[in-house]
Amino acid sequence: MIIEQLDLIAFGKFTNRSIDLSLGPRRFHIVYGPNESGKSTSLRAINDWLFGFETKAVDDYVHNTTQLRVGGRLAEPESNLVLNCIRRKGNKDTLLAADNKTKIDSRILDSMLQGISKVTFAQQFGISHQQLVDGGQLILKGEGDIGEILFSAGAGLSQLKQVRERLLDDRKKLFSQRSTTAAMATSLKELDELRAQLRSIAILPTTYNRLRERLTNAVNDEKSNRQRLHEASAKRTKLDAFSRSAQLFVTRRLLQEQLEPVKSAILLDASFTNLRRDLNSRRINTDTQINRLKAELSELQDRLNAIELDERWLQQEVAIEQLNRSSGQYEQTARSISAKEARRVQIVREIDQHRQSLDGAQGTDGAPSLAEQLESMHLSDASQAEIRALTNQYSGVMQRYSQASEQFNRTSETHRKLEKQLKIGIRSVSPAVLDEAIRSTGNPQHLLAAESRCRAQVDSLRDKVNLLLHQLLGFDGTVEQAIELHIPSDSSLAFAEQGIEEIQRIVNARNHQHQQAIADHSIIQARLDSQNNTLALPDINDLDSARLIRDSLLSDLLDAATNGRLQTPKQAVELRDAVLKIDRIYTLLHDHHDHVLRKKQDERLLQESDGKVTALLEAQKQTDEKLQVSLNAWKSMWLDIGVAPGDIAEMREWRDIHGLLVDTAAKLSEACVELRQATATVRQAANHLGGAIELASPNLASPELSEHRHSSPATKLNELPLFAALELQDEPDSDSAALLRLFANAVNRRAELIEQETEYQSVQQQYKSVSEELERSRTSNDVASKQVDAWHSRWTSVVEPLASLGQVTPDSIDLMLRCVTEIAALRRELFGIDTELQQMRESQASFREAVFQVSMKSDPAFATSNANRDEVAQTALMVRQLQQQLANKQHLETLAEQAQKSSNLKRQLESERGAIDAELQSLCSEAGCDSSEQLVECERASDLRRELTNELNIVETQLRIYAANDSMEQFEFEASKYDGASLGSEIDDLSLEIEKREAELVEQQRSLGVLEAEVASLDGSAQAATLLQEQQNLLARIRRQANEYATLTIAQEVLSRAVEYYRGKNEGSVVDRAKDYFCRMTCGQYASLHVDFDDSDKPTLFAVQQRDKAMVPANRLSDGTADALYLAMRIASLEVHLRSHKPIPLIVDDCLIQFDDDRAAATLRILSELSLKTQVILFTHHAHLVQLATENLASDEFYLHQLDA
Amino acid sequence: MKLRRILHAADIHLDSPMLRLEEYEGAPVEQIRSATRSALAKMVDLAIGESVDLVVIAGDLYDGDWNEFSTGLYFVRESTRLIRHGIPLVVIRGNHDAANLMTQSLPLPLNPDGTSIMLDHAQVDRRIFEKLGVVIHGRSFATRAVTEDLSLAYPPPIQGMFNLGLLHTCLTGADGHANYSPCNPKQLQDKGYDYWALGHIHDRRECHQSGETPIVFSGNIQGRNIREVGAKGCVIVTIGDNNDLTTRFEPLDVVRWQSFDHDASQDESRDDLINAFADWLPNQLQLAENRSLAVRVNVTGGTQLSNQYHRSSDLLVNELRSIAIQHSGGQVWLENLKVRTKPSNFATIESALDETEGDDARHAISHVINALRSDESAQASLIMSLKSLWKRLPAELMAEEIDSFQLENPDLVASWLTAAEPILLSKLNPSEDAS
Repeated sequence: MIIEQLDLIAFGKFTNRSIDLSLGPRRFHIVYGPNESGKSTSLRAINDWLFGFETKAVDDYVHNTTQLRVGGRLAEPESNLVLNCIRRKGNKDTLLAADNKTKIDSRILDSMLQGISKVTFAQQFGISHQQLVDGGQLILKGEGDIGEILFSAGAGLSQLKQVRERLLDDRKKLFSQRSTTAAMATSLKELDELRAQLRSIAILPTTYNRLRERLTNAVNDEKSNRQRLHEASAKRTKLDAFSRSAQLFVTRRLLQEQLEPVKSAILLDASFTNLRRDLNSRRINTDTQINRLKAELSELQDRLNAIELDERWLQQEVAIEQLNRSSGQYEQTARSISAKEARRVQIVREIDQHRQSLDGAQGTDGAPSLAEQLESMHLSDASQAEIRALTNQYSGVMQRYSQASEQFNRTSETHRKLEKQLKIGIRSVSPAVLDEAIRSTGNPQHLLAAESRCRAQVDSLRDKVNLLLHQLLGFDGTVEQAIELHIPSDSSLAFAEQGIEEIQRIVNARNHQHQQAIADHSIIQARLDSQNNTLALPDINDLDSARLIRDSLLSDLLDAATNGRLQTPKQAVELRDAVLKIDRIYTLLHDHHDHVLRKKQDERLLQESDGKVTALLEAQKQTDEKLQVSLNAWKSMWLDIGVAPGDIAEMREWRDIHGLLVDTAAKLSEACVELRQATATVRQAANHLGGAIELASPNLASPELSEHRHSSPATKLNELPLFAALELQDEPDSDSAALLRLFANAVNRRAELIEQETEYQSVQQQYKSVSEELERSRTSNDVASKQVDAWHSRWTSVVEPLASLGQVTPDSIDLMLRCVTEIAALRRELFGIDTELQQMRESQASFREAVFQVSMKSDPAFATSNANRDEVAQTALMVRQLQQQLANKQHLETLAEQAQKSSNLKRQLESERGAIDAELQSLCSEAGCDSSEQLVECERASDLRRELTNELNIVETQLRIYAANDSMEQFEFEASKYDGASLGSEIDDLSLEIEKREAELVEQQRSLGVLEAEVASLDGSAQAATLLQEQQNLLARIRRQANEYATLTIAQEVLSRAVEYYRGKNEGSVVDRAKDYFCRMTCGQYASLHVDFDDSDKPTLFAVQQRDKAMVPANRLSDGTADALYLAMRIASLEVHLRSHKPIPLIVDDCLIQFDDDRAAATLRILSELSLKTQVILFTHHAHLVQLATENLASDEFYLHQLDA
Repeated sequence: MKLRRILHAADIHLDSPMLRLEEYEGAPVEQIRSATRSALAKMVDLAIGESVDLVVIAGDLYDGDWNEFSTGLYFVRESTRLIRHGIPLVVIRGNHDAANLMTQSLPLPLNPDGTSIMLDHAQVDRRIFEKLGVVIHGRSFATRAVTEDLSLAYPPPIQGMFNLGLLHTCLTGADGHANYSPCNPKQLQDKGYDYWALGHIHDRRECHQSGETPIVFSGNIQGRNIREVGAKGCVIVTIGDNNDLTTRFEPLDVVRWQSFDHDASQDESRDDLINAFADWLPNQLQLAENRSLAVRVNVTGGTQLSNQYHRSSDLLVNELRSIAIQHSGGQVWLENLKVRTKPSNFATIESALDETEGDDARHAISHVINALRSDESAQASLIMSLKSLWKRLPAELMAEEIDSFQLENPDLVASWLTAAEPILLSKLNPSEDAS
């Protein structure tokens, strides 16, 4: 894919700015612009166009976001595919056609981009200054690892090392053998803590069972102790009882003696006295009440006798109440009668008015009125309804008929006009023939571009062949002769060269040895010379003299010390100096001895070295002779074929150039064939188009057509000797111009024909449509006409009974029918009112009769005295009279009831008085006396007996309690066995035992309580289960972390393997290409690149210096050279990529600013060459780069586009 | 005889924890605690509320390796509650119970008629409930691995009564369940019983044809991991005069597991996934009737966003958790996000790899990964570097039966290889992360 045109429609500062990038065959475009000219904007525009806008737009400061547009034309020359498209900002359907409206399937663009993502495009097909610097740094900071360099350059990734470090860091953050702070170490520690917590609270089955067993044992112990305590307590209680019962036995005897005198008294119960007192009080009360009731009964009888009651009124109670209820209705009926009579008068008047209205309309001439006639006809409701329906339909039917007629007339007129147009119209020639020719030709620009590319290819290859021929130093022949050269076989040359190189290596080695021997000889000689220059040495006399001095000084010192005249430190210093002097003499003598020995050794070595140098010189001469013989033999191999050879390295390069020349010549031959085919295609397309235009334009006679058709055939390039093509000059481009003109003619002519065709078809279509419309309107007209006829027919039959009334129209008959209907309705209402009046009058009479009858039955005197009153007033008086009688009756009944109650109460009190007397008599019998007055004495004796008996019972009860389950006699008997003293002692012993057991029991119960609480605490708590859940949650975290760690580890390994795999696949091809580029970019400072293994057997990249062939490791290069190396590797990788992929434009963003002018010029030439294979767009704001390009590249080797500031 | 009702449950796995739920801020931690206990309590409440006549549990009260006695005491408490309401309970031991010490030593309450609630393991045991006209035939597991067909020894039915067979079995086998006490539906049909209450398989299912004796797995009462999705509970069996019966499922779970499966092939941005999840969630919460949800999000399909989904899975997880918290008020736990997408142009890339093998640095990564997928010896050397970590991992992880975490599991290595590629591409193309 290449970018043929970039349209900055509305993007950043640009509005409708286009950059034409279509020129070739070298598609090297330099887009130059100073700062603020929009260079960076254009770069972003390409990205946004091809891959969509960024979410956050930065280029919307002139055009708002929705208006942003960038587009242009993309082409795939190899498949003649062209895509004109525009990108808008948005989330969906952002790719539009050139009309800025039609949506385009983005897959077309994706296909042209070969699935390359935005990032890949930027990294692999973009080279920026920063990338170059980063790439250079990658090489310098690395260890020269060829795999790493290749991989980085191939993918355009300059941060591979950082990626590796990040992966390692991420892993270490998760887990490291020695780290205690890594995430997983923390998680594992948390897990251990959780497990410990769980262990501490978990209740295991064994724990539970042991606890249950302890509880059972504790319960049994407590039970046993409690039993023994109970026994001791029981015994102590019994002894206590013996002790306490002694005094009670004495008391019992005294009470029995006091009871003896009153033991015959009758025991009266405690309520006897109260009962007696209550009966006396009740007897007095009863007598008082009886007397009061007798007075009341007498008064009530007097009041009853005073009340009067008339039974006749009470007998008529129902009738009077009925009359009272009917009196309201009577008054209402009287008012209704008046209203109905008024309405009756009004109806009669309205009927008369309707009649007069009808007669007025018809006129009166003595004959029966019209109303009377109509009423006499007795038209049925159905007939009237039908007449009304027809009347309503009349206007609609007539209107439809009118519209249908009008429509039919209009359509007929149009139909006639179109028929006339068709008759005079002429059908044009079909555009199909032109259409086919245009389609088969396709875009003529593509054909011409293909031809142009072929021609450029031929030119390029021709130049290359000439250049290569020129580079074949030592050969003066033609290209043909060069190709025909019978170069010695590779094996024979290799054999000879290997021999020479082997001898050369020996020569070099011997030279080296010789030089080394000479150097050694010089060193030995220098040492000997220095040994000859030794200073004068002390002799034995000097030593003896020094020793004498020392001894003398020592002797003086000893004497001084003995005599106490010691003068230190002077004497000591002198002695020390004397000793040192002896030491120096001794050292000098010793060194000299060694020196003499070394000198002898060096003299021997020098003698050996002389011999070695001589031998090596001799051997070197022999080897040089051998080398010369081999070289002569090798040179003769070249001279035999007419080539004056250089050195071996030059001739190896010579062979490479020759091989390249042969290959390029073969490609040139193929390119010539392709050019011929492309030219023939152009011509064939022109002929095809010409013929089609003639067919489509029979009346046209174009001189151009005939001229083109009879022009001479294209030059048959493939029939020429290959090397004639080398001299081939560009021919005038007459075929191209003709093709373009014919294509334009064909397109125009086709448009005209299509327009004519369309117009004719439009009239045809219109005629057909109007014909159908005419048919429809005719049918509508017929239908409307039939509807009118049908209405008339029905009207005539319906109004036939009214024939006697004369001519009746729908309007007049409608009025008549409404009047007759109104009259009939009024008559029905009048009849209803008469009937109601009759019923109401009968009802009034009936009420009056009833009032008279009831008053007579109630009281004839009352009836007579009120006969002159109206019925309603009479009724009201009767009601008042009845109410008076009813009130009297109620009063009488109330008094009678009261008297009955009083009488009943009196009888009840008299009965109660008798009962009280009987009860008092009963009390006397019970107490054993004759009268109620003796009762008080009897009560006193009874009380004394009861008191003594109670005391005795208490004592005996106490004794029985002490005796417990024993009988009283048994108890008394046993108690009598103990005396007071022995009893007290035994009780004390038992108390001590009981106290001890109670203490034990308290302790046992406390322990039991603890155990029971412990068991109770095992209540099925969810604490352990909760911890278990937390443990699972933590395990989930650890699992996730382990997964992440494993993924990172594998990613790290995969990356290493991918780098190695990539190196294995691409090392040969990429390094091979990069050598040349690197050599050229460094302007020959470096001759080549070399891959070798370092000390750890890792393949490492070295740059070979031109000057001394020294191999410099890639990471020891200078910054600028490392940048050049990275760029060379990038371009080589891209070139290798292009061998198997369609081209994708390479976008270079000012990456040459680090280079000096020579290197920049060399790189520009490389980019220009690369542009034969893929489009290269260089953005720069450096004017000197433009100048360099202008000075170093031919005018057709690059295209300059300038952006204004 | 009036209508009788039996509650059939199984696989309680009391106090068994919910698996693979990593805690995070806002996760409904409290809701999932003691979920199995809550489900059991709901079962007892249901039995009492519905006044059922009998409760049967077809094995696996506890987890085999969990012997914390509080668990057993909790079961005693709940079963006592049931019995105090006069509802008898009949239980058999399943494979998990057989291995559990609690079932050996825990003093269980007796039924209202004085019988033991646990059926014998030495032979087929039975409980006759004369007033109900129901007889239960069942046999507990004696050991964890009972591979013989226990159903063979089940006796003929007692005529005139409703015969219910209680059995812990894998039947003819099921994925993820051990092959214990295997038998087939026809054998069970031939016994002539009126209902077979089965346990062991955690999915609720019916294994009979229309008109045949019902053979029913009630499933477990509370899902415990993402493989146990959907409603979990018990079956209420209603028996008529002529021993004709109807069954009804009653959910008991308090936490419901669900999967949200999203096909990303039409996604245009990450928001599409987030929005789809936000649309799906409220409906699921409604279906779950206010229960807590544990949700796994599975993203599949060929999409241009594939690498982005893989790369930004941490970010996605946080976004999905945020949605879950917003829409549920902290009722939803996002269990995991599984991204298994492929690039939409995957096929194209694959074929391109064949044609231009190794000439592109990025494709070299894909090539190496693809080569590693099929090279067992290379995989073995890869996992060597992981052994130092794996030696320190908790034994529980190694023992997990679902998605084994053993290094020897080829699926595990494959998943790491799949995840490694987008991670590498992400780190090599950091600018894409911004998008």
